[in-house]
Amino acid sequence: MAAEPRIVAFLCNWCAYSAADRAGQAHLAYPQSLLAVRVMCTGRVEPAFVLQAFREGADGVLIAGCHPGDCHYLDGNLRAAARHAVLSRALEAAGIEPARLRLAWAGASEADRFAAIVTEMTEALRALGPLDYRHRALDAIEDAIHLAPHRLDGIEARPAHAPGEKPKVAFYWNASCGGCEEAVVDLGDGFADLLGKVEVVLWPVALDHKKKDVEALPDGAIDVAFLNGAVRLTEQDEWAQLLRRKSRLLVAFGACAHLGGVVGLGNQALKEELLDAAYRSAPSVSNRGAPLPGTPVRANGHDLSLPVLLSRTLPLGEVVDVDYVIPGCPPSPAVVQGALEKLLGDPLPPRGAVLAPNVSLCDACPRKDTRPERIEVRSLRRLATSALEATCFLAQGLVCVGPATRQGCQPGCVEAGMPCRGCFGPLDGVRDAGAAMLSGFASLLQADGEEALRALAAAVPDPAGTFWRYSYAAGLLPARVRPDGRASAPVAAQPAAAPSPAAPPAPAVTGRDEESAA
Amino acid sequence: MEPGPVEGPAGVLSSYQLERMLHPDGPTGGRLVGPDGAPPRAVLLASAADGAPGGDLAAREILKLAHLVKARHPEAAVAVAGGLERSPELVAEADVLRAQGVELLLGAPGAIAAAGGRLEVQLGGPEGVRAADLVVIHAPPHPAAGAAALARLFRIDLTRAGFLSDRAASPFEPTATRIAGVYVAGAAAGPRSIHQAIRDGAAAAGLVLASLEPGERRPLEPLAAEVEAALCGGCGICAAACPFGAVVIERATGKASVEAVHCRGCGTCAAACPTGATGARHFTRAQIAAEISALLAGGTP
Repeated sequence: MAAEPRIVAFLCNWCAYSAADRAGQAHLAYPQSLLAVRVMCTGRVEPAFVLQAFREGADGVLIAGCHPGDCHYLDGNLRAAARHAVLSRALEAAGIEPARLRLAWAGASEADRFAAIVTEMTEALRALGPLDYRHRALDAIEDAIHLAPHRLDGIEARPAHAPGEKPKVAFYWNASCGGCEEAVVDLGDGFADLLGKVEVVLWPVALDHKKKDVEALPDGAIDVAFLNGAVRLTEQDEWAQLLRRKSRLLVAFGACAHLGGVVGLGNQALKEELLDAAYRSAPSVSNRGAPLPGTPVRANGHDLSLPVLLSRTLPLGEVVDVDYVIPGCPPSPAVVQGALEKLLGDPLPPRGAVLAPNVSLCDACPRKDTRPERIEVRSLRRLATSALEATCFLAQGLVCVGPATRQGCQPGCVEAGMPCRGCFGPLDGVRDAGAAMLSGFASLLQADGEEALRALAAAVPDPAGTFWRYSYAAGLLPARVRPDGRASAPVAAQPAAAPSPAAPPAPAVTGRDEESAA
Repeated sequence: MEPGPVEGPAGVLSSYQLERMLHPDGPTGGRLVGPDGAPPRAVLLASAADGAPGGDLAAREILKLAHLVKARHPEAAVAVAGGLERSPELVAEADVLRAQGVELLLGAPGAIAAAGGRLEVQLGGPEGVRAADLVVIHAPPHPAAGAAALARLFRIDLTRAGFLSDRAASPFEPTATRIAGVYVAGAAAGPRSIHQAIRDGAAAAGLVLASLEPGERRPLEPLAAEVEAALCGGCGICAAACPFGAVVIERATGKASVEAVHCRGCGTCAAACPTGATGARHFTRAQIAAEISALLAGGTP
């Protein structure tokens, strides 16, 4: 018999919590599945709390407060409703069914209503089966990552930089577009200065170094390694481990290494779906026998294989210890130049620092003086089809992620009439950049009544892709749950000729698998 | 408050124009005249404010005018359209009118056209077209021109119709707004009868006086939000989210700050803040996150 579903319930002090209390006093029977967190108002509930609950094992999350119109704080509950409406859509991208996140209203005297809500939700969750996010979405990667031959042991014992020698610098790219390589060249005159000051020991995009050259270096011989790109293949994990071992300082360079970047949006699909789209089902693909990367293929007397795709994209910091981060897609010349000066100088910044100002973009926005005293979004506009003014994007009803995004971009996008998309990532201490901005933007939505507000929230374009554009893989829920409830099987183990499992673009997560739940 | 506009062919009057005409100092010395200068044989009165804020007040106004017209011109055929007498509060007054020979029609007024020297009014429902010499319409009044600017200045809301909203957190503070110390009384909040306006004014004055009691202390909310200025980018999202206008972006610093007197500690701003600068005392991010972890670490209940 499967365990009872666990519901983390955020209850407002004045209505839902009182209703729960009253239900207890009245000895009303309802399932013991409720784990209550009291807040003063449902308006206090951050989307990040909801994501955290799912990540840490909740099967459902209930947000319950006063009926609209009865809020002790006028309309804090409507802010909760707007956030809930946007967040539910983002959860679907991770394969989390809408029924797992419920917003409900129960007045202080409505003990029976409260008990009914809990009973109903518990039954719906029983029918869905356990969410088990950690097992079904996160653990899969851990099997794959053990493929990497290098681990971190012995990393502390490394020689100090020899005085008098030019610092040795390495540049390498993992899952990235190459824009970060261009960002180095974009230093212009600064680039020539840099080449005069350092010895480049690895830079595949420009110089002919091989992996074996790096392997031949003593551990810790590279002073600073700049590694851009996310980790999506076993080979990229190997390179990350190798450069970590060989470098005194390892720098995550650019949004993909920092947060997974745009590459991380692929985590909204299962690995099998991605492989199927790329190697089998796309109309332009001709793949006889349908082998996938990782499947050894014999050709011209050689055994060939491609690196294995990991079950999800990982930011660099999840596979190795990262000393510093240079953010941006790509990092701006000013940020790169400033970071180089700090890293090649003395003293070093505090370990783990993101080398860009810890203030949001709004503070440096050229449009900041056009922000109205009270921003209200009553209708949404689109960049391509709306007549826009050179004023605060949010006030015009466009999603601008600047409020949640670190400065450092010299804001090129805003100056070109483009709202911030968030590539510099969140400020220190913000665990999930997407959740933070989703909450911020949804809090601006205003409409007459709950229904109209929900309709407006439903029109917010692609919440997962918009708010987590660069940080999906670094979020609290960084991957889609597997419908079968099992960890990802290594792709190499699949029979090469077998047709791939049907992979619709957004598979519904089916009912609970009794075998795996047992 | 401004009178709502009424348009139509000659012979269509607003309720205010009719009041003026019936006044002894008015343009006709208090005589009722049609567009041709002769006393009207048939007068139709109707409210265009049915269902709008102040609709009951409008209905009362129309019934009062019907009563005045009938008293002044008993020979005229007077009709009231729109089923106003269905309002339970107005049943008695409608009965009095009916006894005086005023016709009470159900259909609401629609298009009005001039035809053959008379006016033809399209009525809803089974009534069809009614002819009259004088048609009197009460249109919903508009907010005063400065209402929106005044609301912005005091950070209070406007109602859907554009009047100042007197919606407060507590029903025990009539005329209070969501901003502590700001009250809205009388027609600024929408159409009001004189009785209602006086009651509003007395309530507001009482609440203000009660708060000015010598020695009276204003309690501050211990849960009031706080802002860590170094992390604040001044995006204004917290200020927009606050139901009480207690968070403002300081002009001098460009950073958010919480007016503790106005903050009631709901934490809506803290949840909205995209940088973690705005926090809720005693319901901090770290506290709630630890609570969630602890609940879920406890294993299956």
